[in-house]
Amino acid sequence: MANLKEIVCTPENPFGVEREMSDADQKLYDDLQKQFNDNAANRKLRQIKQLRSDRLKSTDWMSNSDVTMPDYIKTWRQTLRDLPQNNTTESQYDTLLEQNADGSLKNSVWKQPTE
Amino acid sequence: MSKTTIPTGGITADAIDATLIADDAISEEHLDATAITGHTALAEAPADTDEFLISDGGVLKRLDASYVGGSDFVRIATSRSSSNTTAVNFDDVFDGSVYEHYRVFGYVAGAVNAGGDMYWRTGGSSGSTYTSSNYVWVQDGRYIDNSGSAGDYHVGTFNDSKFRYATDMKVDNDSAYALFDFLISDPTTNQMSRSYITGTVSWQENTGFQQVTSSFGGRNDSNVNATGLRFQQESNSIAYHHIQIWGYKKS
Repeated sequence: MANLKEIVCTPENPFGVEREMSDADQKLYDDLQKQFNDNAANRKLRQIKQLRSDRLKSTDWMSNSDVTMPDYIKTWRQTLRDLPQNNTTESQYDTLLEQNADGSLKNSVWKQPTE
Repeated sequence: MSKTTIPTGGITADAIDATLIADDAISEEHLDATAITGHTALAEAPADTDEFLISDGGVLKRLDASYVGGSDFVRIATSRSSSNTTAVNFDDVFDGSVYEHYRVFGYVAGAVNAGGDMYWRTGGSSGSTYTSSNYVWVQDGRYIDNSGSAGDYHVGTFNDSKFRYATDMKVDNDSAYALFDFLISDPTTNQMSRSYITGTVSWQENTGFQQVTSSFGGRNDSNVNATGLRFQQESNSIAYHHIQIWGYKKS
């Protein structure tokens, strides 16, 4: 089967021409695709940890000595910290990362409680 | 002898030369625009020795194109398309005998949610992609999501197999993409043994649809002597792109 097509610009063709990928570049492309698909769960977990970290950082100021952190914030922060150990499968990651049409996260765990 | 009327066909081809016309006798009213429009268009940038006709303080002179609009900032290559392609290569675009710094800017939209990757190319017009794990890069910036929440953005990798300039890029046909502006120093390692990259990137992530802006810095931890660049998505194809490479002349 022929390799996929790519664009190449050179001094002779500064606006680019299409050509078939070399075997080496086709392998690179295939390997990246496989790696991307194989790493789906790790990638989602990394996103979850990033979202968790952002929310913990946004409430870190409440732990200052001159502030009393409300219990509901303490509980929420602990829930966030426990997310990786309480969610270990890709389908659980998908549930945590589910989005509304506007891109906002559906899962209530990401929303800071008010009481 | 004077004549007031010249019959049609009375002046044959090449019958009038400079010896028969008084100096300064041909003025603007005798010159038609077809003197320009009737000629074949050059349709490319003029060579340095191509000539223009100018009036220099009332005296007509010829002027070499090398003196007009000449710039030390030269566009080397451009690729622009709205059709899917697996990768965009720029081969043999780095010429260390002429340039030392290069500006690479443009945008890339992916066909699936993924990261945008940039590699060195080596070894000529059918060169190979340099994938050794010694790309070092770091990004530092901020994001804002669709709810208005903002936060810090810090990512980076030591000994990666490519530069990743955008992560978790959202895909939304032609409305979500990564925009970048990079300055690359000495990729052909003529004076310095390592090429560095600095620049800025802005893109929309898929997670939370957050817009990220970041500064980008990187180097390759070996003497690659790169001849060009390759742009690729972490997975699947590039859907839209417009990338330009410009060179800054060394002298």
